[in-house]
Amino acid sequence: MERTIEEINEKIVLSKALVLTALEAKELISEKGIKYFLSNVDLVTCASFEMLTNALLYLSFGQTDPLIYFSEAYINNVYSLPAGPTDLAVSSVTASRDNPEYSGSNVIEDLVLGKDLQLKATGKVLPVFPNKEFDTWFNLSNLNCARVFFNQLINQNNIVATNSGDKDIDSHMGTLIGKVENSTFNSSGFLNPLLNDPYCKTLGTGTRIWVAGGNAYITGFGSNHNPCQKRNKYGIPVGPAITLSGFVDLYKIDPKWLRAGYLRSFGPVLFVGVGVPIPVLNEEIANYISITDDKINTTIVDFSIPRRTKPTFGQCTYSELRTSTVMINDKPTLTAPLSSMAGAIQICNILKEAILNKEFYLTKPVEDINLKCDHKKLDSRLSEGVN
Amino acid sequence: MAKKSKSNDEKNINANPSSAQPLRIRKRIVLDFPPQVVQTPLTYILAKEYDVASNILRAEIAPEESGKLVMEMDGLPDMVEKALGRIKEMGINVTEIARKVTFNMDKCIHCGACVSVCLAGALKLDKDYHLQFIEPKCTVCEMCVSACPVDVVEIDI
Repeated sequence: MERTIEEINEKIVLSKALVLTALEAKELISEKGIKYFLSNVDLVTCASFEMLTNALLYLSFGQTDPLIYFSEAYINNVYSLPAGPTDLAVSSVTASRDNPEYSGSNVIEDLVLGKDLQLKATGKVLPVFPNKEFDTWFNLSNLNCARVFFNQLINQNNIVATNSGDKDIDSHMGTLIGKVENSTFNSSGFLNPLLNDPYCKTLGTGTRIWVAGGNAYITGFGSNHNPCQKRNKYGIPVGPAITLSGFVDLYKIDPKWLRAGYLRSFGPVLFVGVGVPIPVLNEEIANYISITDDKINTTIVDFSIPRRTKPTFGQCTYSELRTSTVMINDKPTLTAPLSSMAGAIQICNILKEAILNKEFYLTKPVEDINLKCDHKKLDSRLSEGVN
Repeated sequence: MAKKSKSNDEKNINANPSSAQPLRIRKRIVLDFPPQVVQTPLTYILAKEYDVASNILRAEIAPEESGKLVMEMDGLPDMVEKALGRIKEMGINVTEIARKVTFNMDKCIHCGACVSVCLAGALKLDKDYHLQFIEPKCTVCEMCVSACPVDVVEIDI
């Protein structure tokens, strides 16, 4: 049995499409088998509500009178990079000048919440753009355009972080207590879109996805894209592998699904809800959707050594991680996620409702994701032209 | 018969709490032991002489060294007071824990970052992956306060 994306879209129009969330799909497959699933279900909604560490906000202001060409700008005291006469780019990781815990992430969150923000800008003073200084307050409705670009919006898999050293470490994987007392992981496991479609058969550049309530599009692969990562016999990578980038318009975002956070000794982070519909096109995709937590492996990494290549403690599965105790070096260790499963389940349901209400249709990718590129590392070089 | 009388007792307590037996109270304390009293069988004394059940939440005691003990005392109000007096007489420094950890569940995103640092086991994710705070197990170690990325954990003094 094979389907095309166009056929599924027609079924959505006629209210005949059978849409399931990833959670329901896996229950159905274990109950009635993969053949029944393939012949009946058209679409599965997957989601993640993971912690992201990079984002770029792009704002387009209208012109001032007299005209201004931004040379330096601060939004709520967060440095903003001029990207055109009246355009500004704000990095999610830039901290405010007076409060290290307030950063670009919070600027994004405040905009989405509809709060007023303070803009302090200086101009270049050119013949046509004579304005030297401009101070104002603005909110989302005063902007011509506000969008966020996430260069690592969807992560395929992630590691489990632990710490064998004597001292506690605050890392981007949370607080790791010394002597392997705890461990953390950051993935929504069997709900993650890229673990339900591990070779990007249905996803690619141009695929429409749901990001925090707004419509977003995948723009290609993202930061730390490493598609050649070792995979297990089910085709699931055993560590970080494919990443996808995407952008979202801030105007339609639900603030519940875009939350700024701050990790001690690391800095700003963002929790962003992502929902991806995966069409059940053929048996191969149905087989991938049947993969459950016990078939998804991940690698346990020791964070006590702050180097690029870190020692590992072997592998474990997500079903072990979900029990809150995982064996590391023969020692039962407390483990907990950093990505919200409760949120991901809710997003799966929201996206399912949107599809059933004909608010969301499938799109065919314009271009496939490159799955053959290397993951490059940055090494020091003595001079130009020397490798 | 025995069952019946028990349910009657329960009813009496519900109907008129003042006429029932005085209620036991719980108090959380931090004890700092100087080296000379580390060997004192404290929990035995509390149980035998004051009928106070002591639940040790955290202990850092090494022989011949000073130690620290976080525990919960469960007993009748006057007995707990007397027991505290006795502990102080022994030369042990007592600090009562009046602080409490509170979670602003409206803002919580149920990520689990606090669960990973709660070695006392007071924080758990239930089967629907929602955060659960089991307050009796909390030792107010405050690890979750800094671990929370979205700032929903607060300390009440």
